[in-house]
Amino acid sequence: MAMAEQDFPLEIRDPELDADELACRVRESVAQRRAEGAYGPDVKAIGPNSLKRGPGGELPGDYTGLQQSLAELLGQGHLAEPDFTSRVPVIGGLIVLVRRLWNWMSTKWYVRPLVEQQSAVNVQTAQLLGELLQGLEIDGQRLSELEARVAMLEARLEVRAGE
Amino acid sequence: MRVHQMHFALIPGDAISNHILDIDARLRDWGLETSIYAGHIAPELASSARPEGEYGAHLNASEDLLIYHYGLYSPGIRYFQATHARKVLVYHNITPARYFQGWSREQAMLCAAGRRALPGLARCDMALGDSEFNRQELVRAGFDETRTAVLPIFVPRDRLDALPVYQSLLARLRSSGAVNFLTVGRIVPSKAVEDVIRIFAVYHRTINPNSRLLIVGSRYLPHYDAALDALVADLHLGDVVTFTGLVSDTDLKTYYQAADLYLHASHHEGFCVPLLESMHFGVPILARKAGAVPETLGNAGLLFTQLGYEEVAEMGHLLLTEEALRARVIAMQRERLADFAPQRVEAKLKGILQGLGILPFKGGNVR
Repeated sequence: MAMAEQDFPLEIRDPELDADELACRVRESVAQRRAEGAYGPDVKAIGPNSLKRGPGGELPGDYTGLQQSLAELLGQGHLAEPDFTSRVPVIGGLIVLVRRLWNWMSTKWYVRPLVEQQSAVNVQTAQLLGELLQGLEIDGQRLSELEARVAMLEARLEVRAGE
Repeated sequence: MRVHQMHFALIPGDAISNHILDIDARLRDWGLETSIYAGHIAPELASSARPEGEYGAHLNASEDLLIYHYGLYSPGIRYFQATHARKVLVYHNITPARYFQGWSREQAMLCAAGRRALPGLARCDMALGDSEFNRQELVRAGFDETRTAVLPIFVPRDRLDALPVYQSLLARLRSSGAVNFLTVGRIVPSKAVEDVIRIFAVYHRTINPNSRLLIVGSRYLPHYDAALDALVADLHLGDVVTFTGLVSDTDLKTYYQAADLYLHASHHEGFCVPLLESMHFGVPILARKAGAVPETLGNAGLLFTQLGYEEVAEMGHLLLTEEALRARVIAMQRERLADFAPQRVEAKLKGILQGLGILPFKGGNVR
């Protein structure tokens, strides 16, 4: 039986082993030694600071975040006209009808071309950004390969200088 | 028709290099002409490989097969992209660059460039991961899933068994009945060697002072090495923690034979050969659940999912002292090891080469 990750930091997959019983024994040992103060200072707090930080973030040139944002932008680029609703009981339907009629008479023929124009601009902008991002990725790939080769050569030079 | 293999380096004791040599031996047994190319060839293996530039003469040999082993960025990928031969990529995984940031600019750059170049290698006849974990990364990188497969790394147990044991080292390690913790692998930040040291520190100072930690693997990142040395000194473990550096196969076998517990804290593994070696030598495994480690272990070994230094140290203690538990874990590990039997890996390799027309199906002709 496997132990639940949130309950315990150990996982035993062998179905023949009694994971709960083992977990219980480990917990008891830890609790007892803690009560006795046997563990001493926290080992995590010991050692150089460089070992206390976690792994760094992505290196420059990782466009994963930009790609996701662009996908979201593309999804939201097309503007949709909101429909009217009303929560008022009984006459709600009538209110919605009046609003639709007023919108149709006063603004729809003026606003709709603007909405369509803006949607087209949004989609074109997102597509253009996509093409630019693709170009950046190609350049970024070339750059990262060049950086790797420079770093490799620098390391070899250092070794030779030390010989 | 010739089968070429290429890797950025061919180094004795390196798991990928051994895998390449094992594949080469099988290919020759099957009657194929073979060659190995590498950007860097260790002097001990100079007779086994040629400089990668020499592959240029075969770029237009469309009947040939190029097997490119990919585990780090290398300018040699250009040959893989440019060749007219049939081609197979074997992906051994690349450590995410963030683990090297602040420790080694060169390694960080090589890993970053390697990962970024992966989608550009997708035009191939077949792409193999040495684990399902690696195969999935290939699919995510844009490789055609129908042309991917898993080919585990050969762990040549016969060769391990045939190696002599370094008796005086073994006697020294077993002296005074000390409990030996072992960890094996390159000493790099992604392996979280500091966590192994801290777990051991809890065990040593609280549970069993008659214990030592053996850390076997090449050290090549001076800043990380210095930080680990400082940690060992700060924890007052200088007398009981040993960094062996890169060791011979004989020494490696001796360390496994002297080990009572194999402890692995790596954040990222594409396969993890030391787990199979521990299974082979009957050393119970306590490992961090990360990367391909759970896949390689199957139902064997014990996993820790987070730290918990004290819990992991106590679990290690149980594994060392509870005979029934220890015997069961070792038995399960042996059972799991059977899934990676060289004959099975060999059969998989043969099937892949038959599918590519490199080897004939029974009674058929080679393309």
